[in-house]
Amino acid sequence: MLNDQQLQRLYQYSFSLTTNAHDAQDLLQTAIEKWLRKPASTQQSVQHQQAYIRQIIRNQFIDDCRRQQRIAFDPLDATEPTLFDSRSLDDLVIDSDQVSKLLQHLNSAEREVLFMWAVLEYSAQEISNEIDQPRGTVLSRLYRLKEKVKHLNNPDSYNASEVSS
Amino acid sequence: MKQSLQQASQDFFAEQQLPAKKLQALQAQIQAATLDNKKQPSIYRHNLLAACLVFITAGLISLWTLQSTPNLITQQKMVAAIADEVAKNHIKMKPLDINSNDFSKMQEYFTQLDFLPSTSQHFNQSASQVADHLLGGRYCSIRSMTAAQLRFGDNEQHRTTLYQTEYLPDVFGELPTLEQGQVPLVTYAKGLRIEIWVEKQLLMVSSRQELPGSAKQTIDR
Repeated sequence: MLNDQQLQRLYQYSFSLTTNAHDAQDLLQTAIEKWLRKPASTQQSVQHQQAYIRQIIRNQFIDDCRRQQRIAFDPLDATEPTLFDSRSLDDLVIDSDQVSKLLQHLNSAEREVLFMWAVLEYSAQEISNEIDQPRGTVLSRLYRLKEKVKHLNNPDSYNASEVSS
Repeated sequence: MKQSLQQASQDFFAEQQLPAKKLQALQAQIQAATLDNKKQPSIYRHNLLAACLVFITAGLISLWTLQSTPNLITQQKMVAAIADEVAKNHIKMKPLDINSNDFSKMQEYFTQLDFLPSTSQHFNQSASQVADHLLGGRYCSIRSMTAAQLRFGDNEQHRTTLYQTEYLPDVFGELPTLEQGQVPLVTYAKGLRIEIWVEKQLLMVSSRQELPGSAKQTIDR
């Protein structure tokens, strides 16, 4: 079934969406309950079990936001700039104690792609496949992420019109 | 202390841990649900198995009788989408990122691609009147996949563009492969003749104004 490490990883994914420990615990709990209500054959046989449960978490997060009349994942403008690929993030550096601050500046969609790129080590195409969004959308979110990291590293050069959540 | 964004993020998320009690409670819940599933009466499992076999058999029969139709419709849609996108880019003729008639310089320029732009045997043969007139290239995309657009032509009226990107069957579906002796698909979009094929494991798409005398495999839209 699921070992402790897998459950912790799912919790960390929930945290990337909510940035709140309590909300992340609730989100994971609800998602696991939904998963357990699926037929046993589905639970065992889904090839990418973790991805399947992440999808349940994601859908639950969207439902929760809708109930609270919040937008779960901000839509992007069609003219948003993009990275050419996720390797453009490889050279980015950040103070290790700034990640928490960075997450506060990211919206849930950007936190999600950060988690998938950094922790799950997915490529842009793999992220696109998992969240069922065009690869261009993923690259746009990564571009925004990159700009926000640059802003954190060098606030004086920040152009307020460039990036917005 | 500065770290790579990836490492710093991994470290941060690794610190986010479910409290031990919550973890134990979840594991207990999962264990209990697993035991409940195992206790289901065998007759239920046998009926379920029988129902599955009937369903699978019916599905296989349907698949056998309708084998080509659904795949063909999906593939036609993909080909149409590629052709539309490429035709749109051809008509816009955005400024080139690099102006050069030297193919090796073009390959050196496209450092942001996951593949190496390559010469095409088919393109060199089918567009022989312009294949020697490389003008330059620019980055573009095909179905959100980063691609290279190479522009050829000897005058404004006879521009030909050749698009290349990594061929992923999961993204683009089955397309004719030159190395397997297959011929390119020919279709039309926005008044342009579009050819689509796979060569050197790259998806290649050419677009140009209709030239007389080409007879290739066509696809109805």
